[in-house]
Amino acid sequence: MSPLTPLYLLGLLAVSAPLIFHLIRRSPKGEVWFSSLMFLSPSPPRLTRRSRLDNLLLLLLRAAALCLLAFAFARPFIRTAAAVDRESSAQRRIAVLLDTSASMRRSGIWQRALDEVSAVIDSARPGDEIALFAFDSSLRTVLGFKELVQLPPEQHAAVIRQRLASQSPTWGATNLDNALIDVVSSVNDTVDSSEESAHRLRRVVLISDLQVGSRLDELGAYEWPRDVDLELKTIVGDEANAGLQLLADPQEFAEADAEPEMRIRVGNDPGSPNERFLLRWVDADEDARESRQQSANGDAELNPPVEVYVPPGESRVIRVPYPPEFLASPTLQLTGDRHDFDNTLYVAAKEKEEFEVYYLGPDAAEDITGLQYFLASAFYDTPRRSVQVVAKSLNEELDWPAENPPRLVVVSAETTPANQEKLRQYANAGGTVVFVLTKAGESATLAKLAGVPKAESFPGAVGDYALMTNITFDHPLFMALASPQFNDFTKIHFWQYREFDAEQLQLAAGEPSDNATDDSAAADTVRVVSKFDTGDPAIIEKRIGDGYLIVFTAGWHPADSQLARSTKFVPIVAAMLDRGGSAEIDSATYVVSQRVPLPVADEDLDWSVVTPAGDELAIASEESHFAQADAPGMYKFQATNPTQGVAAQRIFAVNLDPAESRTAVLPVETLEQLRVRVANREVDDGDLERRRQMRDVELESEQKIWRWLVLAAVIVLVAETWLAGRKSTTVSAADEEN
Amino acid sequence: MATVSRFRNSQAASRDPSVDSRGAMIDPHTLMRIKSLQLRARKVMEGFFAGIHRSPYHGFSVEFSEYREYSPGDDLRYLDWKLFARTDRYYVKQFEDETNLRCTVLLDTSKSMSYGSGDFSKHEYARTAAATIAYFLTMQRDAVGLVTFEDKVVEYLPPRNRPGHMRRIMAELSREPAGKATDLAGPLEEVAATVRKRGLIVIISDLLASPELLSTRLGYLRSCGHDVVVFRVLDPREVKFDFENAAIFRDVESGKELYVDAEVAKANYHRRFEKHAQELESACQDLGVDFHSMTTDEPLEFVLFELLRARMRRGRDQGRRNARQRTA
Repeated sequence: MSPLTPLYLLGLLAVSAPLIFHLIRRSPKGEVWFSSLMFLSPSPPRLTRRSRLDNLLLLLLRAAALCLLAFAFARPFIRTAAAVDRESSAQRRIAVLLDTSASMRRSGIWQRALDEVSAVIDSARPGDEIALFAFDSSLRTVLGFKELVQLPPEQHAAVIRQRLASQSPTWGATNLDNALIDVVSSVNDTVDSSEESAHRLRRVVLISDLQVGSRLDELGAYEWPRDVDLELKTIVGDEANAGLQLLADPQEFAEADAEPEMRIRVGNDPGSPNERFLLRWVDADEDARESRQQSANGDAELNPPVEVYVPPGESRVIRVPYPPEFLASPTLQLTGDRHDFDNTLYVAAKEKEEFEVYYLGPDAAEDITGLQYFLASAFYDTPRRSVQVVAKSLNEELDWPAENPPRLVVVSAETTPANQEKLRQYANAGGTVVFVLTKAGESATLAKLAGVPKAESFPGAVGDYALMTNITFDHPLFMALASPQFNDFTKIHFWQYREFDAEQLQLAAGEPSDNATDDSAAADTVRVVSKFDTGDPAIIEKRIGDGYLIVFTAGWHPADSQLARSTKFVPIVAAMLDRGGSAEIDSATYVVSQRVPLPVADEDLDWSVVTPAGDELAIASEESHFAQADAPGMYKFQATNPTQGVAAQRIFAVNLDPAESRTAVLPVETLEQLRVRVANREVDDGDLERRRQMRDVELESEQKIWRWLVLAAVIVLVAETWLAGRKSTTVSAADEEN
Repeated sequence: MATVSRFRNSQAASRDPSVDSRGAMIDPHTLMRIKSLQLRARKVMEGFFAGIHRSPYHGFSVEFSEYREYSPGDDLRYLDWKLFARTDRYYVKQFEDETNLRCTVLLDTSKSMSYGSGDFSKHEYARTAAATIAYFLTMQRDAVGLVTFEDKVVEYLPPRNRPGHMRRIMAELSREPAGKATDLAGPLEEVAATVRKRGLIVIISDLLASPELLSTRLGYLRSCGHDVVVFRVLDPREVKFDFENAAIFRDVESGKELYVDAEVAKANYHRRFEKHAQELESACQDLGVDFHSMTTDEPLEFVLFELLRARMRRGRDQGRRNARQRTA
């Protein structure tokens, strides 16, 4: 028999109270203040022999009543067979979660992980359900609980071992948070067939190197269920790894003639014994590497290794020159650490972009009063980009190669109907046409471009000058100038402009349109981007097919305005250039398993991606992203014309997640801080104790021995009352007789 | 002498319970209801006068003492010419000291005095007695001083007879005592050292202290030539000890507790109390100190009676002493 609330047994001390009362018969009635005690001497309480002998039974009864009450409050219960520790006999539902991230590629780690899985399978008791999951950046079910139910129990272990053999470490990142959440929900979501299985102990066994680079963000917002434990089987490797990470390319903003270099972050593990590393460009293409093996000494001069010192636990950002041009497929190799899996950084040499901007206007390139002069001055070259303004005369027939159309066409006067049609098609295909109204009157070119019957403008009513107001700063043209320090346009005076009603660009209902798609959302296609302070539109944009028509009602040349000479001009022109630009593959920013955005595909061409392994994966034309980048390396995105062969190609690099290089072991406390219930920890002892207590409460509430004890106490008290009453009556009777 | 005999009669009658002369006296319970101490004192004195039916105003002090043979150098003013005519000898008349009485009242304000079984404490009674004495003597143009003491002298007002002095005494008496332990020895020594000029010293206390210590200090006072009158004020309950139940008895002075079964302890208490009282009385008698014990339920007029009686006896004893010297 055990007490549920043993502290109440202290109530047994109360037994001493009746003893004391029985001993002291004449207790002082109170206290009396007296002037002096000098004539008084203490008179000790007198005890009589009679009091001890006669009331012994009464004393015993009173003590017994108190003892019974104390025992009743202690709520005793008898541990029966039902209270056998369930921990030892209960069946368990175990989800084994195996880390297959890139960091598991370190030497020896993977084999030890497989051994751990085998150990878990071996330690399984009959009736246990063991499922196997693998994860890197996503979770894969190797053998799920649902499938397990359909298998005969004796085959479980064999099937798991068989499927385990097919697992191998991937190149993915360690998204531990999502993997844990998904596994826990799959452990909990499994429908229990019987009452017994509903009470199974649930446990997730994580077999991982538990590296610091694991993602845990989602766990912070996740409430870990109370009945699922996480058992950690951490495979501790040596912390001697260093990793590479390519940082943002500084060349975007560099001068065109600047020495090209890139910024690389080199990180070192806290426990690493090494701190000196070498970075060196090598050729990813092994054939090319071998062929140049002989000229290695010559390489050393052309391709000197970069030495970097990184103290353990820290990281350094260094600048590395661009790969030498003789390398066909350059990769940056790190040497000096113990693990090779993350020592290669793939860098896609970004091709220099060359754009053409066509200018159709009467003015010459060197005419400092003309539009073209300022337009050409506004474009600047960077190491990554060069823009060339091509002037075309108004009557010359426009022509450009289909695969390389101009990025922007600026028209400042009337041109031939053939050119009008060509520009219209160009805009429909996604090009950007800027039309500058330099003269008032009817403009057939503008009408044709906008696809409206008539476009007429009048000289604007300008006093001394007009100002640009009502600028739509959320429009891409002005977005760069939206900040308060840039959005002051009051210094830019417009001397003249053409009053043009933006409504004219709007196709009236019922009017014939040469483009069926215009009808559907005609109202939304015209947008006044900015106005003059007189209320007339200054810049109007109309969407035409996939492209844009941008109408300036005043030119930027000095005759019309101060716009070209203001600081706002260059950003506006740059925004015009990018207005129709499609999504670009940006090199070196992708990691394994990341979705790579694809350029807008032309339906006539077959698009495919060539992986580093040499496989060619066809891309459906409606795909906007490439999601199968599951290994680091150089990927080639190419368009193939069935008749002409490869029409275009772009190369992008996919690298290992830099977090994978951080292989130091994550402290278990970090998981506990995220309220993950880690098994076999001190916390668990408290939990066991709590469970035991709960079982005790249950047993006690079933047995309710306290009721019987209280009943016994009441009976004893009744007997005591009766006895005391009888005694007092006999004493008083005796007194009367005396 | 007639006055003295009246005193004696009146006093004897009032002490005798069979003779009901209390109608003229004021019951202490009634008296204590009067808040003003001076008013109380006046009432007591009025009652006292009512009791003796004649003012003792032209008192005992202006009295002829003796004749002494003239010796050259004596003041001729005091020659009794009538006696010279009868006897043909020069005699000089000698009188009792004509100077006013210097009386110092010592009032015990210790904590034990705060005990009272009835409506008022011993201290209340004692200070009324002190006020009465002071008032009475002031009315006689005598100089009255006051010493209040606990374990040491708390306040000392030297004997004076000047306007306002009475008020100071009353104010001092009206002050509530802080109340500490009684130690008669220290204060009496201090008084012996301070009050140099011979006079009357009236001690009002419950004398709940060791008799040996007390007798030594009283001896100091006597040796300084002071006349000493001791009034012992006791609560009736201290005398009778009529408690019945067993209880924790707590000392008002020290806070000490003692478990006492009253019934058992009563006899013992009476025995010890009587012994203490006898020791006190005999000590006083040996020293020629007038000792009077009174309980707080007795009328306060007795204080005056006892005082006057003591003074009378002192005068008589003095006369006898002079006569003895003469005959010798």
